[in-house]
Amino acid sequence: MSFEGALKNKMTRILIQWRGMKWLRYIPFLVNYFILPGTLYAFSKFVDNYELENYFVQLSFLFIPIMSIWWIVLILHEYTEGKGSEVLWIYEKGKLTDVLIFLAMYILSLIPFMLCAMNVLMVDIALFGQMFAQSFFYAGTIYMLAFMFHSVTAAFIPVFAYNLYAYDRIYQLLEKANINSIQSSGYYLFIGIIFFGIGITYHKNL
Amino acid sequence: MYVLHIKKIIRNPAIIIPIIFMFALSIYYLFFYSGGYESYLQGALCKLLLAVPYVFFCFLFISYEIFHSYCKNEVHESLCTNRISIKYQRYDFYILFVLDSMITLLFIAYQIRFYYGMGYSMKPLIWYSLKVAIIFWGLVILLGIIIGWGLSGIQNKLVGMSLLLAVFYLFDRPFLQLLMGISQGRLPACNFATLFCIFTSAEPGAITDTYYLMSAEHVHLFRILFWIFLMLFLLFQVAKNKAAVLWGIAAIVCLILFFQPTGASYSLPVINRFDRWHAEQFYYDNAYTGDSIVSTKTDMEDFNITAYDIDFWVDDILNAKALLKISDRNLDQYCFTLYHCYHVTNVVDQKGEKLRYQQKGDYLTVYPSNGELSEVTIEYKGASQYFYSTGQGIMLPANFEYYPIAGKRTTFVYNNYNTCFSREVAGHNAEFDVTVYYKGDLKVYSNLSEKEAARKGKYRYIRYKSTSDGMTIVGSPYLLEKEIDQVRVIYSQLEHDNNPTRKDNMEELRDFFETLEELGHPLYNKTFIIAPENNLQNYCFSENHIFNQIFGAKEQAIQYYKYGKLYDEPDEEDRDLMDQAEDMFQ
Amino acid sequence: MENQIEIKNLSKRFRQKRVLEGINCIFKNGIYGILGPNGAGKTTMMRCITGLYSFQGTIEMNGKKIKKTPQTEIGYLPQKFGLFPELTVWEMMTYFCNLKKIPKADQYQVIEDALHMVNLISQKKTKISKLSGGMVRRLGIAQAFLGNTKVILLDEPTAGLDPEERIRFKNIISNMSKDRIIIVSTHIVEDVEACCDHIMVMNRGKKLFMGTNEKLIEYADGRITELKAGDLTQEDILFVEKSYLQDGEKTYRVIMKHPVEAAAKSNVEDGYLCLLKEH
Repeated sequence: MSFEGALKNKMTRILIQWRGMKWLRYIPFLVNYFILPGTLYAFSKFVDNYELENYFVQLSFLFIPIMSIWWIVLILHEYTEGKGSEVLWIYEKGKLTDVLIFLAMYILSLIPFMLCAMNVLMVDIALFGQMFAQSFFYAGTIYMLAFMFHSVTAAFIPVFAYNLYAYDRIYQLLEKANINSIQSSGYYLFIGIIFFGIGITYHKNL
Repeated sequence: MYVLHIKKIIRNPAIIIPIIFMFALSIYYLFFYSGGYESYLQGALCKLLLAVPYVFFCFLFISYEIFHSYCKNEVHESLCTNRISIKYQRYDFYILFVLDSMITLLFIAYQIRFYYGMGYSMKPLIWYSLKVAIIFWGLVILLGIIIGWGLSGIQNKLVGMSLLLAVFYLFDRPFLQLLMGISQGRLPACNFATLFCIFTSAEPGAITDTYYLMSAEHVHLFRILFWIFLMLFLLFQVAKNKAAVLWGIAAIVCLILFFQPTGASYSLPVINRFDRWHAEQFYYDNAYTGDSIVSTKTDMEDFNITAYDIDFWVDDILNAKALLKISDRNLDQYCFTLYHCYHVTNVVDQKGEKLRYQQKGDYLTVYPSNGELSEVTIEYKGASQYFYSTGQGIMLPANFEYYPIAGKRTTFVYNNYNTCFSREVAGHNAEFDVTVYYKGDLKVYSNLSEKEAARKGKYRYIRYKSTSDGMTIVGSPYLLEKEIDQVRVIYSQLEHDNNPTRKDNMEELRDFFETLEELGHPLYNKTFIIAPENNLQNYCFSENHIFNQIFGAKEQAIQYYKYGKLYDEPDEEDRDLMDQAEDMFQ
Repeated sequence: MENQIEIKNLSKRFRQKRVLEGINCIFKNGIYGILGPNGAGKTTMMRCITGLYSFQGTIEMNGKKIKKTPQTEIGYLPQKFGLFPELTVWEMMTYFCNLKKIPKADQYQVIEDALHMVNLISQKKTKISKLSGGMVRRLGIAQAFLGNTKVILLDEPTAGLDPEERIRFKNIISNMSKDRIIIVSTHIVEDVEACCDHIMVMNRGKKLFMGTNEKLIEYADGRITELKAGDLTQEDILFVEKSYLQDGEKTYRVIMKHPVEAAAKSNVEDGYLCLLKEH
């Protein structure tokens, strides 16, 4: 099959998987474009601009990275836990490209949100860079754990727990061990790549 | 039946491994790991409080796993057909309850071991520890069990476990910070936000001081019971069980009781208006405009109070009825200082006629109806979170306006250089006839002379009568009275750094008494009430007593008696720097 | 075209448990039934052939190692099948066509034919979650037959199918067996008897028998008899197959250890049970 054919094939499969998510596929849009701005608007009635910027950072780090793996979890669910998923394992040697495509789609979907935030709240683009690095790290973790345990639940729960406590309890623990710098963008990207690699290794056999 | 359920739990590695791990880790943490906690009472308590969220989370997860097996294996379909679904699950609940009790007992065992190690062996302390263990550990863990039970009904494990985490997050610090951030300045919102504070702060400030220890008042019980009953209501409602109505009513009752006024003095995991360390600062942030220390003796004081006849009822809040004898009888208005937390409910004159009054902030203005006013009776009630007066403890020093003082005085000093309660005592001698009614096992002491102590119904009371320039009342189950060098010393047995029976402290104390004698203000045949160590350092010097800690008392006495200074004042250079810093910030 | 799968010394171990042990056999064009009790290793062997598991030994298809064979030449229906509940039947079939690299121009016809074959063409726009268990099974069979497959592995294909569908299934695989190797794993002996040309019997990870139906029947020739309740104490009895009422009296169909006089006619099931009980 030619490259063009293979690409068309891939896009068709992405589209079918997108359709297969049903209404759940809209959750990231709901969160990023309604819940998050709505909450900030409510906050703006009670707090001044400086505090609002703080809350924006807090809420963004709470919601945006975890939403980045939403679509990934849904597509990996059939692949790891679906009834008869071994059929898919015969024909599809890895979901890496699908995962990266959905991650890229998510980041692209955030562009309008980013532009608004930079305009209205004067938020630095570096902040979004940090968030996307964290999203990449999450995607790698999900990929690795899903194939390690053949379960998206076992993959999603640790990532979700990390997301809730990354900058609180987990940060304190890392600080005590003098390794809190691993929560920087560079380390997130690096560890994400390693986790993707481990996930690819686990994917080789059912 | 129980054996069957226990076997089911033991044979499931996803359940038994976390249980064993949790118990093993708890035993190691409590009995073999020091971490520098055990040198003082606060440390030991902080060690226990730190573990609670983690144990709560473990039980959340374990409970979820146990009850989810009904959903997972589709057993619930057959159980529901026979209408024994929730009834059948109660065996697992009882087993979990036993596990909860076991871990609570572990915590209690640790505390008792600690107390005996430190030489504390008082019965009230052990009963108090039991109460704390039940409210802050036993019931909190029970809540975790019930939440896990409720969420286990969700078939999709991904959704169920995500909700588990989300629920845990709702009660934890990051979310609380968010909630507190938007409720600042709004008293009802702040109070509502404290409903989510089921985990107590594990900072050293968790213990108020060594008179009061950690707050174990009813408000905490109502908070946790509200959540328990709410979760049970939801659980039974989903199971279409009629008992849901009862749980719902119980939840509403607990919610109403939670919002009742309380004098409980406690610290929260985040900064909040109801947090004892910040209550006054939040209030005065809005109210205080000056930046200097106002002299208390000269402002709007046109009259004197010659005698006080006060009845105090110490309960969840302080209720008081104060009869004041006034010196100057023909003024248009009489201005008193009464701390803003105490709300006046009634003012009558010597004939029993109601008088018009206005209470604004810390000041009460009474307008006589006609003619002279020789006596005024003021009824008020309320509670300060800092100077507490509840069934768990009393700390009402003479410099604090918990009874009406003549004139307008500064109650709280809040400027660039000082943040503290005003340390000045009223200054005028008056005759005090005070009766303090209280419940429980408090030992109540005052600088005034004790005349009578008896019981009246469910209250015990002590009557004090003597002449003084100020009145200090302290109460705690752990107080002791001792005579040291002809000075009556009152202190808490649980004090470590301020315990006068320690050899080095005794020397310090004697040195302090000698200094006072040199300064011309000997304390012989008078009272020294050793103040517990806490934030917003408070002390006061009265003619017949001193309320202070041991360390620093000598230097503070010199500053006061020799130079008339009660507050830290920076020198000229530092003052300029501080002013510049404030301007930059503004 | 003659296809061939050659299995030499196939072994598979999961941690300490040996699931397959020294399997040697050859599959050629035709329908093969794999019979065996639960835990015999049937599904594991099929997964080794599909390349899902690593294994010891060799599996070669048409001279090439199975791992090097294009996966699009293999069709597989697993024991449980119920993927993509939110997709419609047509969408799911499109997805599998895509996976099997069937050109887009041909997909429409291929899917139509497959759905006609399993009698699901009327459900092409229905969501998979709305289909009954039997329909989902038929859909699984349909996706296994998609494309230019040389090997089709069906694990319990008739589970959940009604009698009419089971006959239809038999006809489908009979029609498709030309130029293909079809391997059907089941423990329903009637299906094997009806559909398959060759039978392989497995137990405890080992191959017990490989041959035609007739050869398997021969195994129990002369050893089947009917006894009354009082005669069941005989030591010569290998296995009591079943009981039924005959002339108002309970009668037992038993397999004897040795051939007997006036034996009843044996069938594939008898041969299968003989093999199992003797190994």
